[in-house]
Amino acid sequence: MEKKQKKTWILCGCIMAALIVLTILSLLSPHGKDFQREKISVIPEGRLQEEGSGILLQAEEAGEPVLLGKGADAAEWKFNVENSGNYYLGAGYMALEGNGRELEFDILLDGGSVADSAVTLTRIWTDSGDFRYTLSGDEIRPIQTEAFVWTEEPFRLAKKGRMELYLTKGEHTLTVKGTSQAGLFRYLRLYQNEIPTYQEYQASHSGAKETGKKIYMQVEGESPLMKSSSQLYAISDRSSSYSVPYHSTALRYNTIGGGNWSDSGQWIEWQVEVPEDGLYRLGLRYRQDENKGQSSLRQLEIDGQVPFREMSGLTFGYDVDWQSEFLGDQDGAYLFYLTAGYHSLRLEVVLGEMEQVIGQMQNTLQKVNALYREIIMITGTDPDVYRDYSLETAIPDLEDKLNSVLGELKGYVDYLEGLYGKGCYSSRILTQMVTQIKSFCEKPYTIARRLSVFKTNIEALAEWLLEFEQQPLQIDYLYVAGAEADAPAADGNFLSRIGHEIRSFAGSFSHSYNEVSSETEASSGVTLKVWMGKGRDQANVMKRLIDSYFTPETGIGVNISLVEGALVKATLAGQGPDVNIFTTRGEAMNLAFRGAVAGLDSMEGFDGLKEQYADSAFVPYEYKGKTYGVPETQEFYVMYIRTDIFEELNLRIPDTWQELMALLPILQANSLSIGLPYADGYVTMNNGIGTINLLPTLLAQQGIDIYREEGGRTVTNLMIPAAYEAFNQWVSFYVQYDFNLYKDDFNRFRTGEMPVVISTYGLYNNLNEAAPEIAGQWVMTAIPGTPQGENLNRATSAGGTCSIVLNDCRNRREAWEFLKWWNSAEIQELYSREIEAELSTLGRHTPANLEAFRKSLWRDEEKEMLLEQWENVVEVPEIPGGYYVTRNVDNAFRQVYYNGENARDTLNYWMNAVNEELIRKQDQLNAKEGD
Amino acid sequence: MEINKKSKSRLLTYFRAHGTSWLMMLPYLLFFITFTILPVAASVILSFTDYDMVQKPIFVGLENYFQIFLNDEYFIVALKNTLIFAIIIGPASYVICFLIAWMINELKPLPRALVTALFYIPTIVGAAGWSVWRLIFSSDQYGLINGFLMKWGLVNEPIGWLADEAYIMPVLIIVQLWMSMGISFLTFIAGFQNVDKTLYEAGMMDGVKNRFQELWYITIPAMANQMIFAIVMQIVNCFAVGEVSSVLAGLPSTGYAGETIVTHIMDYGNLRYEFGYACAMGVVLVVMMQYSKKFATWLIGKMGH
Repeated sequence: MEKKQKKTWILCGCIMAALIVLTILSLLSPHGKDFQREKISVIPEGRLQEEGSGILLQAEEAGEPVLLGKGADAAEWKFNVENSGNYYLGAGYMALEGNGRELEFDILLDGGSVADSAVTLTRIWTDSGDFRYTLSGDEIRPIQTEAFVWTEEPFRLAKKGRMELYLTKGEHTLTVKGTSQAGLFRYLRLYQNEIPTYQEYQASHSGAKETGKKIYMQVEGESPLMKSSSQLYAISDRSSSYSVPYHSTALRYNTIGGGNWSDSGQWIEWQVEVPEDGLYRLGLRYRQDENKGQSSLRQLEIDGQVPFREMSGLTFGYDVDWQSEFLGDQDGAYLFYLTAGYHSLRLEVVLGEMEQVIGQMQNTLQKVNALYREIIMITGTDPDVYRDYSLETAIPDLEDKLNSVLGELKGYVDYLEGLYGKGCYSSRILTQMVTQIKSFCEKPYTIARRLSVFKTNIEALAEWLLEFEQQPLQIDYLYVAGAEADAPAADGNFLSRIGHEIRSFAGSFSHSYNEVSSETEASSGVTLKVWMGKGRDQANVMKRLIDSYFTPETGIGVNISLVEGALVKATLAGQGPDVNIFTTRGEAMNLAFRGAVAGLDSMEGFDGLKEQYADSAFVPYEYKGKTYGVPETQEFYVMYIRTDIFEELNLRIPDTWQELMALLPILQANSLSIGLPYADGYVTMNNGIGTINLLPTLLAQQGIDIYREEGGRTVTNLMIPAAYEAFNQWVSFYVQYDFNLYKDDFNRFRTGEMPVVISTYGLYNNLNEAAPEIAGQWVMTAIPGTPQGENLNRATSAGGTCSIVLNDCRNRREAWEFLKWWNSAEIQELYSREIEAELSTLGRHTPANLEAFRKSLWRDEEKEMLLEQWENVVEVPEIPGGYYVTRNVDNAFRQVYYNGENARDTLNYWMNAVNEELIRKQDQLNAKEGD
Repeated sequence: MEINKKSKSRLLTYFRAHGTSWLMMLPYLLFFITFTILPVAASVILSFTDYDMVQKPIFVGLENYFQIFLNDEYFIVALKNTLIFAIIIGPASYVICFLIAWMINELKPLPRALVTALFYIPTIVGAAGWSVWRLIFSSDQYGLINGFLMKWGLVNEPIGWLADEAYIMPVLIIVQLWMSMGISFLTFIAGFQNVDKTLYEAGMMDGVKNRFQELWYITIPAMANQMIFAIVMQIVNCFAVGEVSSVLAGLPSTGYAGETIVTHIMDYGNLRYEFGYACAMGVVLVVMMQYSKKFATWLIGKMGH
């Protein structure tokens, strides 16, 4: 017994010792280096290639460049082509300052438009300034700015890569007309891409010597010279200790690209200096871990030229780990001839032959979507499973259509399997679709029964296609090396990975990850504690703005913390911030009623700020004659219409609810529907009542306020007969017309099931970004109105967030200074621009400050439409106990909807309860104020 | 002077005798006082005030208690629902747990461990499991049950399982039943393991005829302690039902159909800023729990005798 125990002890000891040794070894194992970046920002220079091959079309007039763009005259050239073939069209130009979007053109060849979609020229972006550091050692990304330089770029089709023109031998005319943004042009150039093969390239540099010495130059991926989009910014990688610069705990933006660098035509250009003429090898440390089972394609250009054919379709395969290797084939690394001095290396996203396949697939997807709509026009979206709809007779060419789609889909599966192997990940969703359509062909009577699965498959296919086009690639660094140098290791061994994990784990106890501290000590000695309920990207943009504009001007320091949902509790505990931004109105006002928020009216400059907003904007934040918050956003309802379906059915965009209801029989006869907003009241309670459902909007259109004064107290106004009318109108949408309560607006609008959707303007961004297949087939317009005499009342209620100063804040003057700065038109505009530069349209911030909104990135037509609707916004005041209205409106609604109870009685019953609560609440608060 | 000295020396002797014990209790005592005694005392005191968490509390005497019993029409609903939970889930889950534990106890160690883990998982998963339930009982047509019912043509419109007053309570009871199995179950398994095997042999000699007699006359009395622990836990759980309602049916649920005392407290404490009133309800809840525990313990004592 004792011996056995002894043995156990020895064993335990050994294991412990081994673990300790392992830990020490792993902590000592090699990892990437951290370094403060050199403070050099290179100003990019453009590159004109006027002397390049091809047909040059001069644009200069008397030595001065010509202006092309929106508002300017169209330019026309006549030219002669000697060899028939495909030509690219390049332009030597400089973009003029605009709103940061690409330049868009309409190009006509011999009078005919060359493309369905817009033809674009890119703007040139660069990092302005250096990486900076917060006091806690985290890096701050440089701001993305435009470089206004003369350069040559090819015309591209939006998200599709370079535009190709087929020119026959003989005389042609080319007309270029700007449709959005503007630039100065020196010339256009039509050229054919003649790229040598590697053998030819080698032969032409046969005299050059191999640089045998151990030359090795490294360029950090995150510090490029220039790039085609502001979204190609440095990103942080924590997964590997070999990424440079490396820090186990502090934030380092050590890589570039990733998911943001995946649209065809996006490029990043780096600069490298080589010491001597000769042949070099080129390599990079990269990772493609986003597109599963698929390779990403890139084209490499050195000094504006693709050196040889193999460089026009570099493939980077999927792997979750980092890779590091020289560019080459099975015979070894390629050799590139470089002269001594600076060279530019550009990697551009290309689709290669995939481009055509994707175009065809999009076509097929549209066919399948049309087929689905044709079927639901007969069966409805929710078919009776026991009924045989005899679809094959109802749709005469059903079988042919199914077969043609089937053939196309099979073709894609074969193509993908040829590329990536049988049963590859990319072909899975296609195969699923093939299987289903095949069985549709065999047993058409089962289609109705399996319609919902069919729909799911279509959605999956659309989503997959969107992903499939993406060519993500993350780059840590590139290197140019002599022929004898080795490629650096891609990642550490097992030990060094363990070491990395241990270090980061240990560091996580001391490093604060949800705080973005100041870059420098505040000169005034005041540092404000600011909380925001948003993501780290938003915080970083804010931080950069603060460090660039606020702290230098005012000497006030700001620490930002990312806190969500804890404001009330923290404030009650006396641990709250000085300023809270992106505060929900419920939180802000509930604190304000109880005296925890500072009133802002008497602050210097308040009135001037208020003038920049819509009249309605401050209403929710006012209580007893004082204003407690400055609105940041104001989100209201608009209507989305599928114009293609409206045309097909010969419908007109409705102006009133009557007209909307008149559409319904036609839509329902085709099994289509209308989407109205509805959210569970309790989920969004803090956001106020405005954008939870349609009732406040309908009330506003009738000119009814939700509250009224009675005996010195505020009570609900919803018991008057006219309010009941509005309630009844709202409920009957669901009870009589059978609208869906819970639905996915985005997907149903996209498939066309709901060609009319009323939602907030936020949906626009989703549709714009994530539903490319319906681009140009929908519009955003004002919501239907209620006729009042001769006028049409198009009022809409709204929701949104605000900034507040807490009452506990000791430096109230400084806090107000910050609030005023943050909500000023200038900063709101900058913020929305930069956040969109980083997060694309999906992250769009639409400022409530109208002066900022007028300069924001919305397209002009939509801006006008929104501004018009903005004038009709009616905000609901927040009052103590206001949550009870939201709650009981929902209670009343559900009792009528689910239990079919009498609408008038139900509404009265619940509104009585509201009044009791409101009066009780107000008496309580008044009593306390009286003390 | 004399007395003072005396008492001083008495204190000294006391500490000489028991000082070590106090020292060893100190860490726990500190935590117990800070995190249990003080909050409870504070809430009892606050229950006599009007307190909105920002401004100073105002003493209002028994007004909050009058409000609870005389003026709050939804406290009655909450009380009713809480009692439904206590009456249905308490005994039901207790009996089911006991029977299942009894059966599982007959298994070999490895399968027993596996099945035990299976039954205990709901308790561990807890909050994570709710999203699954929400999917199952989702009120739109994509909810699993709605989808199933519509597919088989049993209903045409999706049922608002968590939005329609008629269905909220049954759904909550099912989910709570699933959640409440774990702890008592584990206790019972432990209890079965602890029963002295020789008692069964002795029982056989004394004329126990079947397994049920064995259970009633030997097993239950032998594991009375575990049974009391389990019933106490079960009752505490039942009275404390609230999160399940607020997460699944919303806070508050439609027409207060799923309101329990705890969600009522959450409503007043978290949403309406009436902390004094919430505290008063908390006190009422504690008193109710205390008496039902006494009752249950008495009942267990009666078993097997």
